[in-house]
Amino acid sequence: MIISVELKNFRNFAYARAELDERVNIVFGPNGYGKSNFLEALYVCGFGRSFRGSGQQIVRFDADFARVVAKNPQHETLEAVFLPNGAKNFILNSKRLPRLRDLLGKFPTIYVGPDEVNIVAGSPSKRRNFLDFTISQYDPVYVSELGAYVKSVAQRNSALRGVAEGEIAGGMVLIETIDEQVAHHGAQVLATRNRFLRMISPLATEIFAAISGIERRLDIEYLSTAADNPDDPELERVYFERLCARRKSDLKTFQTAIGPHRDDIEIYLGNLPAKKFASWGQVRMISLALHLAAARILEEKIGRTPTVLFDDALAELDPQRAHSVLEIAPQFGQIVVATPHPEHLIEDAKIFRLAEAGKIVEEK
Amino acid sequence: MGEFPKIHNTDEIPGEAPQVIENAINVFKQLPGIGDRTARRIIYWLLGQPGEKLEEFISALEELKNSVKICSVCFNVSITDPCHICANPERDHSVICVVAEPQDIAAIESTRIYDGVYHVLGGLLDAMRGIGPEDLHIAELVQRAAQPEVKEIILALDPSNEGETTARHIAKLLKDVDVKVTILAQGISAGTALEFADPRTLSAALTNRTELK
Repeated sequence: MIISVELKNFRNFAYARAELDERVNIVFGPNGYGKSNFLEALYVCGFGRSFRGSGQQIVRFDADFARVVAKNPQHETLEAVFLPNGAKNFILNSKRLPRLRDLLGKFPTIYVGPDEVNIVAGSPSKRRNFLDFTISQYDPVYVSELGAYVKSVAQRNSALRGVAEGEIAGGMVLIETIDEQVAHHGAQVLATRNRFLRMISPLATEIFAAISGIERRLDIEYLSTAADNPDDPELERVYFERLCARRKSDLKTFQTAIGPHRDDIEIYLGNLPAKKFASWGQVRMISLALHLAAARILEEKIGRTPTVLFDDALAELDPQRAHSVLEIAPQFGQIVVATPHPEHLIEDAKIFRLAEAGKIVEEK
Repeated sequence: MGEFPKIHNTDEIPGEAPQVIENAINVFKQLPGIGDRTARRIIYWLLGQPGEKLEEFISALEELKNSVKICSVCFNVSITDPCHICANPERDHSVICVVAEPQDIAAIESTRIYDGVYHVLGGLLDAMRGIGPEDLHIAELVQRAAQPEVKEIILALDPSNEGETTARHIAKLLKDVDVKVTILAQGISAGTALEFADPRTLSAALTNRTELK
């Protein structure tokens, strides 16, 4: 939860300050006035990076730095500073955080933007991001295992190229060693993701029923490219053997074709793959249910209320549905909605209006 | 399109120091941890020193070049071959501590609790930089480990991804050799409070906890 936030030279905001409501906040204004920028400022407090990728334009045109200062109910003040050259610094209670990952879980955040609201049918990388971004906020061991995994795969790809091009002498044995390492870390990543899905499915089913009125079970299956059964007690061995079997073809592409970086999840609604069988509206409500369930897991795991950012995510729902989402959502976190049409959203929310580009005004 | 004529018909790059100075700066920039600015500072500092000071540097480097050898047993740097550690009969030759670089030996020696011998690999396996097993002294280590008097190999490598690969690789090569292979424990560093330990270190320390009773 974020109690207050202050923006300085952040995107199109020269200066802005907002005291946020602990339940529901609605930020509205015409497109281009900076609604998403405001949500982005809250997002960087959670993840230390933008949802827009490259941090270059975060700093307002011609300014020397951009700064976001946020306070949470735990009496922590975070100061995020961005420089035009892409450098950034995070200071928590006047102490500089040496690594970005030290920030994770301090301001737990769930972001639902246009891509996330289409997570069921969208690209697999968005579904993997959903798993990684959620789990990373409560499980520091996952963060280091995922980091070690990514690095090991990069080493493996380099080794594949080195061996194929005859540049690494004795490379075949090296690849076998790296395969062990990839399987070791990859199996941990895979098992943790699988445990997370086990936790989130029943929760998401309940939330989906509440917002859609549809009483059908949501099941989420982990589709691993590295093992047929992610619950296999011999996961690491199975993974390693499959990796070895892939070696010959991987040596042609210099790519590691299997593993958590290529895995996916399949979401079933009442035993049918939602991707194919759910309606357009259902797909969106499933996504919202998943993200609210993720918020609940974060709260249970770290004992802090997450901030849930709906970036234009409710705009596509019919007004009645959007309203019922917002009725339920505050149970799962502090809600911040960015929308061009605030009229019919919810009565007891704090309303912020973007009066002109980069100017935020509290309405009530 | 023809060649453009040179504006300055000289090797000097406008705005930069004379070529000899730039050359010296470029040499110093090759040193680890030294960037352009530091190299420049060092060179200008040296230029401000009296001649005998420069002689001191030159002779120190010359001495390094002429007298330092690589030990043919453990690949440590030394002025004798074998090095003073390998040649010392008081040391325990049944235990070999494997390190990446010669300077790691100094770190282990400073503990004064290790009396075995060493083996310097000359780096860590790193496919991204093209460093494979044959670029390191791994085959020599396997040979040494197979000698009957050797009882234990201690892997004292960085707890990095490359260190992990190297440790796994050596362990695999020594699988059928009758020798114990151990690896340095990862844990809480001395003098730090538990609450400030990062989760990765703490989880490693928990996993590798030692029995007290």
